[in-house]
Amino acid sequence: MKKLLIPIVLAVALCGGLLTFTGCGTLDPAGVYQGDKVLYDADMLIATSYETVHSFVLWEYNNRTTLASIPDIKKTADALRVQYPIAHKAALASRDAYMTAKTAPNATALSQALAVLRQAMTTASAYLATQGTL
Amino acid sequence: MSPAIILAILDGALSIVEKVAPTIASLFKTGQITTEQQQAIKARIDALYSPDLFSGPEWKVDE
Repeated sequence: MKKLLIPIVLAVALCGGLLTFTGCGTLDPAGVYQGDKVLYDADMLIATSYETVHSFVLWEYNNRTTLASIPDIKKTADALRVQYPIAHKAALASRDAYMTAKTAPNATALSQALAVLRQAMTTASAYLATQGTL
Repeated sequence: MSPAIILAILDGALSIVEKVAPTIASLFKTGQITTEQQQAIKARIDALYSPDLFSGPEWKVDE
């Protein structure tokens, strides 16, 4: 069981890291982000949250029969299936608005949209941790 | 908990680690983020604008 917990704890810790960290590096100003670290970090979080949540719902879909005895997994995945696409589209809209006008209100709106994605990512990974300790 | 469920959970956790680890590694990277690395992130975000992004069967809610 301890071996089982290692990747689960890692998954939660890694996603938890994304809750609090922004990157340490600086952008080469010649790159496509032209030195805009806010936009770069936002894009990285949007992409990573999608990949994480997609992994979770795909995992649940592929293992539905095996996991039928733990109905909360499907319930959680179904909630993400409904909520995440909305949050994803909202984050992209906020991103686009920030790109068009890098104002404080747009930066705040982007930050709030990203917080929703972080929460979804944490839900997907934390759920595995809860089940892994049963 | 049955071995099949344990394996399934292990598989799920590993798949998430696989997705998140490269991003975390890049967050801890100090120094300059190159134009190639920026382009890679830009390509990832561009792909997420696809209208078919959530059209796969894994995104459907079965009653």
